[in-house]
Amino acid sequence: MEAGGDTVLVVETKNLTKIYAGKYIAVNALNLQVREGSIFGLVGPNAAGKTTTFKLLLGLQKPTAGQVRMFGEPMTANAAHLRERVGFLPTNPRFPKDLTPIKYLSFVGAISGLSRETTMLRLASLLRAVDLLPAASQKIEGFSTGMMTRLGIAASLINDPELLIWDEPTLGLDPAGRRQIFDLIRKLSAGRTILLSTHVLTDVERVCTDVAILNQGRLIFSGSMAEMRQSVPHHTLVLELDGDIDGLCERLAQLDDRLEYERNDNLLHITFPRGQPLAARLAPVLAALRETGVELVSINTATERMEEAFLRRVEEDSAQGLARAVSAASDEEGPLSGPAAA
Amino acid sequence: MRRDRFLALLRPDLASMTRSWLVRLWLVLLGLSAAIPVLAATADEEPASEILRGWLQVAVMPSAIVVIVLSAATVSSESSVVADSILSKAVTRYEYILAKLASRVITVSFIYFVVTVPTAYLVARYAERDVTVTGVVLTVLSLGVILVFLTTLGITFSSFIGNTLISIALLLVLVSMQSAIFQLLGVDYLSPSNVLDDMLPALKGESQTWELLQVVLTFGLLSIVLGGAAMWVFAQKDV
Repeated sequence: MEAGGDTVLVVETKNLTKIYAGKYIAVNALNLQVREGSIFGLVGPNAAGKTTTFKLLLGLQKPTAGQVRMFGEPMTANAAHLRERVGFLPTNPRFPKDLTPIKYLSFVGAISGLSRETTMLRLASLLRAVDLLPAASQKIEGFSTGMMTRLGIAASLINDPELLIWDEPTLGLDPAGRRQIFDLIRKLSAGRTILLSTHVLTDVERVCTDVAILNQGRLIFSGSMAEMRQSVPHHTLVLELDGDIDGLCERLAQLDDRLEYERNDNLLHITFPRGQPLAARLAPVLAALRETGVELVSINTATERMEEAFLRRVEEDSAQGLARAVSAASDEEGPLSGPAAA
Repeated sequence: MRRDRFLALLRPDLASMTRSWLVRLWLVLLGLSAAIPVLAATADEEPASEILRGWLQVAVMPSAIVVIVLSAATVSSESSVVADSILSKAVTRYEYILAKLASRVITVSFIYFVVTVPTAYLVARYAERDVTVTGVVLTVLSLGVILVFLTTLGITFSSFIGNTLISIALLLVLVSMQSAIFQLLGVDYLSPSNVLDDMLPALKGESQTWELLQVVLTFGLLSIVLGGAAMWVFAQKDV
């Protein structure tokens, strides 16, 4: 399915809505477009509708209204031929407790239509890759949350899918495990489309090419990461310093009294307005460092930038108030365009 | 319906049936109870019809309760894992529920017939023979089909209701009221309690063959209809 030009959409929803028991609106007229080959991050706070959206995408739940199309075809409860091309990792995955990882992955391979030989080859390498070889013959019953997640990752990859849908893939993992997941996502993205959900904004910033923000079941932003970053009106850099930082701050004030900065122990957060070349604004700072002899240990972009963009979007959406109803009624495509339409 | 996916779902479920303590207990108790009519037959004190009737009446009721518990837990017992671990994969809802139906029906039929058929044969062989082959076959078959019907009814309830205990309670209520229900429908001759009560003439071949066949065909057809209903209902449900 094509959204425009040569862009192929792997997932597309049109006014996707889910209302539980006629009372709770979990997903509200969602218009989502996931480009082929993208790493698409679905971001939102708890109860934003991320998990419900994934269940609707997979045909596990029936939409109250709207449509889901995957690989250009309508998704239904019985569209197993579409799910054959998808690898799904649920949040807090639950598996049959009396099975071992080997037995469960054999089962998944069989219901995915793989031959026994292929299944055995893949499960062995996958269990090694997710570091579950020592527990391969233990019952799933005693597994920790992190182990369940890793088994779920293995199960989602056994059929070598074109599309990965991972719901909170870093949940329950320690920092080393989280880093492994991000490395894995980057490697897997070659030749695949990855749709992942998270409420941790730094995860999105680290790996995603496109992002959508859900708030209370409604899509309030969908676009590329670059577009998301552009919505923040300034750059923020974090400098880790060693030396006479007080002297540095005095010198910075002399050089440019418009410079905004905040000191936090040996960290200096410097904010630069957008619209001006960052290199030009950074030059006086580097000059001050040389003059005062303060050592620059490291320099990073601030994570608050992504959070700020996210919060700004949520605030803007809330501030629109009744105007949202007007835009929803008049705009058949939804309030904001996706990356393909952009 | 894809045969390989259906079999991939069926095999582990059948394996879990063989590991089930309830299934194993049922098989053992039914098998042990079968020794009683066989011993009674060799004692040559009662005619075969009386021995078989007595045993079948005693064996079927507890078997019905086992079948209710086995079938009512079919879908609901897996509800916490079925979405994440099975239905999110490359299987259809129809394949899943058909595999469950097949697994339970095969298990129930196997245990019932593997004990009942040899027992009926041995009793007919060694006791004072007053039964006909047709009568024995149709009687054993009638009760077997009724158990299969109960299995599909339990699975249908499990698909509709999703709560094991409520499904079991409703099924028990239905079973206790079954003769009233059939009477209300004007077909009390088809009710399982009527089949049990009229077993003696049936075993002796004194009942109309067509009446017994009607029981087999009716409950067989109802089982197929219920199986279809279970598949349809499950396909509509959110998991």
